[in-house]
Amino acid sequence: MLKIEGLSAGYGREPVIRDVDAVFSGAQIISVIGPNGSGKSTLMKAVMGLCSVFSGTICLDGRPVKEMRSRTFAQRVSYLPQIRPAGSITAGRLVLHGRFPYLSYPRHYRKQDYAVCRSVMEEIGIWDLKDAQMEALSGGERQKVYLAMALAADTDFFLLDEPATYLDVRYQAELSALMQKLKGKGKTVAAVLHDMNSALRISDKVLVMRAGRIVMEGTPEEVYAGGVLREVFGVEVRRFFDENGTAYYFTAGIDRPV
Amino acid sequence: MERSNRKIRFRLLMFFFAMLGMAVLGVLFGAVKIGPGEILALFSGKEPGAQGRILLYVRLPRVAGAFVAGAGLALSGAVIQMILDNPLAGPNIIGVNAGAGFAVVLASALFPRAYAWYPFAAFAGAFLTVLFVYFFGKKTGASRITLVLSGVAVNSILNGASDAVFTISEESLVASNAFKIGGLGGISIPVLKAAAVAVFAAAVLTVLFCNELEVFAQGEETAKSLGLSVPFYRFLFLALAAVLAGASVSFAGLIGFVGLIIPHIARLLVGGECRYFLPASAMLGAFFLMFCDFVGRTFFAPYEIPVGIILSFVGAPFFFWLLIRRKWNA
Repeated sequence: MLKIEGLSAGYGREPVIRDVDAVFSGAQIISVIGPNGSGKSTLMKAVMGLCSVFSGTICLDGRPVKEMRSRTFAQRVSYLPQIRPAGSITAGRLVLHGRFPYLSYPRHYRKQDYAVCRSVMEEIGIWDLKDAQMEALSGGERQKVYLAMALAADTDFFLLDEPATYLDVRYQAELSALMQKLKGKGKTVAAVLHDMNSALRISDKVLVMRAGRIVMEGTPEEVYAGGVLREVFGVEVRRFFDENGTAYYFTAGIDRPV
Repeated sequence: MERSNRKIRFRLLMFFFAMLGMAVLGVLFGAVKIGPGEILALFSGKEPGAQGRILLYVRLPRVAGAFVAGAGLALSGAVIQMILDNPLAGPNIIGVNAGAGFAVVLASALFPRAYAWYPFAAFAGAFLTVLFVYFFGKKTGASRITLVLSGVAVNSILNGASDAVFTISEESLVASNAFKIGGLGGISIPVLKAAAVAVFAAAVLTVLFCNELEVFAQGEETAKSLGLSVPFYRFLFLALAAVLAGASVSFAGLIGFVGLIIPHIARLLVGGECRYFLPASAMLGAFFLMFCDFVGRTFFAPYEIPVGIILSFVGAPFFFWLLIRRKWNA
């Protein structure tokens, strides 16, 4: 269980998020939604130790994260940052680095690391890209390679910061299926999402953030019915059901001047 | 993935033989003709003649110097480009060369007769500069781009300071001019030995930590999420880059373009995977500097063109080409 209590964190001297409480645990998909600048990415970064934590605690299975060795933590929690350089490296090699937390000195990859890398790339359907340079790949392909790297780490928790960025609708659908697959394997997936339909449709729990605070936490049904989306985003969200009873969410229009 | 790397390994082998061949060529040929008889006589244990002494005390140290400086500067450039994620970065961009240069200019002005200490001053200058750039970056939470920009600022300050010392102290002018152009004409064996040991040790460490360097190059956020201690490795790689460049500059002068050009060529030929890219950079750097020095001292014999000048003529057009290529790609 990844437990966040009373967390205030940010950059420089000013906190971006304040008094945030959240629990990521079990086989769940947790979406973090909110307007731009509401602190969603900062929440992810704070958990990963990538920004300053001013107060509060982050514990992994009851143990404060700041007391854990970075390698031990990396074996439990994977993180997909929002901005990544597309350096001069092949896709296969990058995915292999997902196994980095498991290496001890001298850090050389073993046969089992190559095997994990191959199985993950085959699972995502990018094995044929293994020798391609990252610079030569499309945005969607790159995103898949980074996801494969996170998967290769075989952690219990996946923190994904806007994983659907650069992805076309097909890739977005594949991403949703992948997140559900991870959940099926008992993993906890917490993702910052901008697509309201994806967030409400596939999530077990939704955290709604505004101005650095979590203003609501609940199931998609509770979040939809509570009217918080209109309050936070200033848009009208509507829900439709198909013949199978699956819910789809649409933003119908601007509810009030922004 | 492993099988596709056979071609790259073959290329590395070719680089090795090219480097070895260039070293042999550099020792055998020069302004003074040395026959095979004199070379064989060296192995017989007899006291060497005039030509034998030229071979032992002039040509061999010079080729070894080109070898060490070429490998050191290219490797330093490769590391700097990776940690700063900037293909236009190099030891001369983040201020390493300017730091070494200022230290030597200052030393030559304050202690004109202490020639033996100049290499150490160069190394100290390079190291202090890189430490400053690092701590500035850390203190301000600077991004890689800001780190490069702070290097540019440091370069400007140090070059200005060097010029100020030039203006005030005329005594420093001669030694510093040769140092600023960069050349391998006046190499002394004790200075070369110390620098070679430093470059060799730093090169071994760099290659040993090649996986860490590759993970670091994926961005600090990704590196940290993969369990890499980012501040420690940032310090380590900056220090290694400073040792590699500072030690090279200490006896070869301000040779800048090797650190910029060679990593690009190495990346084109073997890709960016560190376990191939780093040794390729070192070998190609050694080959290239030995070649340029060979051209400088044989093509215009009995006149000699310092290697720094040849490198500028080759390096500057390459830099322009790089800028144009980047513009096209953008």
